[in-house]
Amino acid sequence: MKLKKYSRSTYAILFAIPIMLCLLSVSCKKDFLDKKPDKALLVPTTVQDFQALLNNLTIMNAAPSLNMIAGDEFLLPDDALEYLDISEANSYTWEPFSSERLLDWETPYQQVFYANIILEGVDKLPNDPATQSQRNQLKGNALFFRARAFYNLAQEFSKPYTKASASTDQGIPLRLKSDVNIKSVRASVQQTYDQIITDLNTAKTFLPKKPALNTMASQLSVNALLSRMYLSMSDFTNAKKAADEYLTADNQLIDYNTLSASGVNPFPQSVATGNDEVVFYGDLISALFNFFSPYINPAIYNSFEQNDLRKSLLFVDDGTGNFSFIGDYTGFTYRLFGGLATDEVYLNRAECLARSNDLTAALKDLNLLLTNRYKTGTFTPIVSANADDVLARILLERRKELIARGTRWSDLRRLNLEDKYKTTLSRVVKGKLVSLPPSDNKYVFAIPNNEISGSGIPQNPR
Amino acid sequence: MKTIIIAFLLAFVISESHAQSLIVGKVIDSETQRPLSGATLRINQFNLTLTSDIAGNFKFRPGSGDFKIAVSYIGYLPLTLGVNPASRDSIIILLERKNNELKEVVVSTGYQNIPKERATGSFEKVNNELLNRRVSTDIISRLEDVVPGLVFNRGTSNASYQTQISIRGQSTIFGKADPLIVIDNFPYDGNINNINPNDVESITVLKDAAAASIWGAKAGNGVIVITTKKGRYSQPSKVSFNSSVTIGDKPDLFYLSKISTPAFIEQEKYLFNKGLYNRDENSANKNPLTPVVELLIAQRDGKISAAEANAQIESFNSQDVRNDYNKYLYQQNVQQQYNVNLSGGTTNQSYYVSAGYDKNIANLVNNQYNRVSFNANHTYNFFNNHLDVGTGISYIQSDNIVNNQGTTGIYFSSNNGSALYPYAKLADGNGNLLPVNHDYRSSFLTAARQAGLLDWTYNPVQEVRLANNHAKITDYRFNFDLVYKIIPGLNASALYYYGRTTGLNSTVNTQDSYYARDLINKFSSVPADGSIVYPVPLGGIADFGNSLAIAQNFRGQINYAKNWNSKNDLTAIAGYEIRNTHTTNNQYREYGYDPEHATVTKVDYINYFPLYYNTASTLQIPNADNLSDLTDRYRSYYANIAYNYDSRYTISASGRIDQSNLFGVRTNQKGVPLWSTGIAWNVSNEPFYKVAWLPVLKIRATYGFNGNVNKSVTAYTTARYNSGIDNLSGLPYATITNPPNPDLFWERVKVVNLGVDFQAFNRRISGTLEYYHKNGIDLIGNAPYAPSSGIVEFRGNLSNNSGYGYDFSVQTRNLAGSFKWTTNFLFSKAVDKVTDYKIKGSGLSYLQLVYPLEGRPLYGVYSFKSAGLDPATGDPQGYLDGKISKDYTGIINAATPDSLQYNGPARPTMFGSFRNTFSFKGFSISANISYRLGYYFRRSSVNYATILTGQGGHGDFEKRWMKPGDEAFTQIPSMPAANNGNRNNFYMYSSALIEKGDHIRLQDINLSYTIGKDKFKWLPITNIQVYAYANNLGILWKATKTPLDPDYPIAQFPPVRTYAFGIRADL
Repeated sequence: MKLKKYSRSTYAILFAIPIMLCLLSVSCKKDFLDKKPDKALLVPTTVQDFQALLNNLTIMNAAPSLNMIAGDEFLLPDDALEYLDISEANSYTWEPFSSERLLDWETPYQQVFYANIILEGVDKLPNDPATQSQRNQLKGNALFFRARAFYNLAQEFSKPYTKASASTDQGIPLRLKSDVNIKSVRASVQQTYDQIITDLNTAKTFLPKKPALNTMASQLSVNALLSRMYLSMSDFTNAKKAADEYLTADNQLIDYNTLSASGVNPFPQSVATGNDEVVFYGDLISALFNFFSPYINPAIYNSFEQNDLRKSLLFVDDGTGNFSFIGDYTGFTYRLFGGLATDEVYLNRAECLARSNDLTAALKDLNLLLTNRYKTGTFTPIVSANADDVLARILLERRKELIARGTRWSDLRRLNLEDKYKTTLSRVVKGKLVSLPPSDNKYVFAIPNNEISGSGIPQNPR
Repeated sequence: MKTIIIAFLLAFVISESHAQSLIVGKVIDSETQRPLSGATLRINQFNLTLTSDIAGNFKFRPGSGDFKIAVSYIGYLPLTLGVNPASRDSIIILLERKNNELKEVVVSTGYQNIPKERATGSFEKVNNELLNRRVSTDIISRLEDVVPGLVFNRGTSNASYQTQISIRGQSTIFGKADPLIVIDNFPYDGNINNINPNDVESITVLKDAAAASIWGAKAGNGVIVITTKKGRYSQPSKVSFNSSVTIGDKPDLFYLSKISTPAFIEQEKYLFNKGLYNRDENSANKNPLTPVVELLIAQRDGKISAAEANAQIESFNSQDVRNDYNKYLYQQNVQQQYNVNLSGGTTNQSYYVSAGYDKNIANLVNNQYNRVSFNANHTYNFFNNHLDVGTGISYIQSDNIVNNQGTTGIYFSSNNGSALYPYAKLADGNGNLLPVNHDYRSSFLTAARQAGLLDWTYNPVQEVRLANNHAKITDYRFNFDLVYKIIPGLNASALYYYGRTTGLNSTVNTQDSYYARDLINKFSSVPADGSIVYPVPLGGIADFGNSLAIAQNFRGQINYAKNWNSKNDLTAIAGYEIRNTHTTNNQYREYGYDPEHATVTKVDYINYFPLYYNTASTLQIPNADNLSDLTDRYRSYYANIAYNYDSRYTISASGRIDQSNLFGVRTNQKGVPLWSTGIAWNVSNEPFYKVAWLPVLKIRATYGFNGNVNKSVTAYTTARYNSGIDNLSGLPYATITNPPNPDLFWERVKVVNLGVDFQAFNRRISGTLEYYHKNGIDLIGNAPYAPSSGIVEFRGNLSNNSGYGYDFSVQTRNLAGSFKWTTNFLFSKAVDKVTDYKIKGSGLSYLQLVYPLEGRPLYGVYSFKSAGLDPATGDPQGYLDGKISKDYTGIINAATPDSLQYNGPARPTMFGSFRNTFSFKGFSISANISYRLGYYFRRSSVNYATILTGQGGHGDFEKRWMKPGDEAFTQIPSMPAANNGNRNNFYMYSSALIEKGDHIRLQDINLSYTIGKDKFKWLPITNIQVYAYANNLGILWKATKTPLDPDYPIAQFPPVRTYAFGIRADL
């Protein structure tokens, strides 16, 4: 075959054209590089995406657990201390110690971060009537979860609320935007609670009366949390108001006579099967503590009367003469309940009523609860005209009913502000008596070091 | 020295006979196929002298009759060729370079071939002969000890790494640390172990920026370019055959020291009296107990007498389960390899076709690897050499059968731990297989059997025999290449590559397998009527996984090469490429699987079922379904130019812009190129150069940037849908993985490389010395963030590192003549350190993890400084606030990266090899000694956490401190009364257990005998070689006094010695 000069360039062109076309057709396709590298990777933008973030129970529904370890509900065999995380061991022995990292600090702030991403994301969504109710739900939930996180943080990392000093006491950083580069500063205790109240009250306007699934927020859970929060502020009027509102909408209690003692958790799994008292599912951050045979403080165990069903249903002999607690409202053995339930709201209201000297109403609530806890026919309703006696009984029942709910610490903190109810906690650790006097600095946990070095906020006094 | 001269002559014919018509021809280099311009052609019959033109072409009109052409060209062997003009009108003349030893080395970057003589960068070529020195199933291991600067990180097994190779240290922290592997023109993402080494012609390793930056964002860890075998134009058909058998020793299961059986039993008795086993004995989960503990319980309960118990316990003393492992689970390994290929070509087409089969029987009984590979490539040229069309098809199918997990699967699930008791018996004296105690107490198993459940015993050897696990990979690669010569020196090419890899994993547990029986039994319940309910249905349980990876590449490239005034030589390329890799994966499980009829049974994944062994606990039936879908996309532009003047001065420059779907729009828009530049000076080609003893001297210097890819980060706020649904709520859920980071960018590595190439003393000595300095810039690293922001760590372009080193390689020809002796010596030094890293971890994190620390190498060995043993108690002692202390908690809590002792790098900083080859006539023997220096390792020792929980442990236990005075000869702490975790940790990470890793080993020996037709005319074939090869021969010297192999201090055993025998023939 012979080729002439010009025919070469002809071939060159013939050859080059398809290449060029090829190049152009691909490079002009702008979306070639917009393809997601991993389908599981999600840049959250839709209602479903935000809902999926909210559904992350492990993060969103967790509640701090060190307070339970530091409190007076459980004791631990000495050898178990070796195995605990150092922050848990130090909480148990009340060492004035600050950890490098602390899940009790990180997890609630992760909840705040998620909530802020959802709030900002939902605001950017088009105002489409078809998604109106979903957007409202998301907004209400995000506000509720943020408020709950702030409340939980305030219980561990700032002083208990006292009106006189609330505006000068150090609260917690209130992160209201998702931008991780904003520098954190500590708000005052007053600002902290104000923010929680604002968030909850706004949330209420977006939320349904009752939850579709109890991992989500509703007006019920807002009222339960409001009632718990006001109680921790010793604002009994508002605590009662929230409890009233709650109990008007839902007053169902479980009759423990319907449960059977089998050596395992008698309650159904509160999310999958449902627990009539649980309006909001939460669980305490998993602590090693739970896996090394903590046993119930004998003082609490012994305070149950023989006909009290809780004594046989909620505890098992762990083989050493001590009793393990198995009655978590989660329905699982190693997962402690950190949510909100009707029994607590009854006790909140009873206490508020007793404090306002409405003893009949207070005892009505208390007796109703206890009737559901004792063997049928064995409970004699309490009758008393002595306000102190009634209040003392309510506080005792509160301690017995709300075991391992993460509420005892807040109760200790607020009651320590009242001379009548001041308590010094003490226990024997490796043969040594250690104690925690009322209003000790250690009632406010140390903020972890990575926060102090990262944002420079002031540490709590040790 | 006598140079062996082999005249290489081949002339090819294109049909048709036209007497006295024009004859056209071309003179090309036989090796590189580059045209030779200016060759002199003399035809005495016609008194004609011709010169080939710039493209090597010549033409003339001959007279009548046969004639002879004498061809000469400087540097090449002269050639005289007889031609019958009646039978040919086209001649291709291949000239062989004069000195075989000086043959021009051509290196491949994957984009172009460059004569090494004119390269400025750091290229290392491994030719076919050297690749074939080793015998192996895979290709990558053949690079060990032959490439300076390239080191295998032995004894590590990080599954996320494709290879265990580092080239000149590691220049990333969290990015991909593997070198980029390129096969022919395109990156290869499949499993590199599947590539048949017999199909590989050569490998070029690109080490510095000038060599590698053409690969841009993927080149930061170096590039390995594999060139596969191809047919050549004008080459007679050739059939080659290679077959080998490799036999490997059984592994040494006693390599790691373990507590002896009598000592283990003593400890069990001691712990039994302390009540350790009460928890298991009374456990609701029916935890198993060892035979000794069962006997002790029986004795305690008065069921047998003390004498009877003792006698039975005594009988266990001589048993060591490792002997049983050795007998029933391990064997010698056998690897067979067969390969045949056929290649050839005419003036306008060439071909290469090969078929290979590998069958490896592993050391672990019942494990196997089989591979079948086919390869075919063709090249055609059209339009008078103007258009080359190449096609290539490769097919590989491999099946990895792992039915034997070794000893790891044989555990013992008690409350205290999972170590199997050392006196377990896998078979009795007659070879009848025996069950061992595994998940439950034997009394419970007997009762369950009586209740009608399936046999619940666990027989480890039986399990290996029943297992049926395959991981099959089918890999197709398809190439289509077009190269069009537009005008002389200018051509355009378009290359397309399609790769498709499918993976098919199956794990079939038949109903006879323990896994299936256990799961079925676990969920079974026996109602009052005695019937049995099976939530997990009877039948097998099968796990299947399918994966599909499709890679597509397109590349368009313009190549230009021009030589003028025979002094100026310019080459340039520019191109564009796009790449798309799509990987999908799905895994699923079938219950009630019946392989005979391919039927399965539905199960209830939702509800919780009480467990048979403990009805108080409930579980869901395990679901193992999973999906993933990944896409990688790249778009790149690149160019490379090199100019050489008078074979003396070379300058080169290279640049590339990469865009991808990883980092988002902003990074892509920036379009910052990764670039490099280099210069080279062939000093010895200067007219003034007169150093006779050093006839070749070349100096090179390069500077530039390569990149690294890190897929763990993106520019957007991203969340990840967690696989499956939440167990509690039954809803899909997502986790935020990244806060937004719009400023993300490629990691970059700045490399400076200086090199000298030389040949001295009549070319008896030749070698290369290179120095390099690297800076990793904008490496992806972590920085701590205040947790109140919602994140604890932020990952971004936050870190830097730096490294430097030398690569030295020299070849000396000590004896030449009929008895030859050649020595190759390689020495590399590679030092790197992290120069900027924002987070400091706790002391323990440096001891337990790979944790970057400023000023130290990424892989470092740290320890608590040891102060020996307390002479009174045998407790280990360390330092706290500068004073000797036994406050272990205090020491651990106070430890900071600065207070810890830094012992040194964990990876060799100096390494290389020393290879001597002797040959006489057809015999050749070559021995390779490798060495690795300048690094440390941590050895294991007794950990009382396992000793005090009846788990056994390290044999050091028996050499521990037991009474005052023992500290004179032992460093091993005494046994504490109660377990103390921090004391254990302190000793485990104390400087007492740090050893120097330095060692020299005799890696391998190759022996071969070759005979060829050139010497033995009677041979029916061209040549034939028989060879023997032995690998992993042993350590010649090591710094540590321990019996450990420094590269495998914590492995169960080091690689076994292997012996291979093979035959290779060219027909």
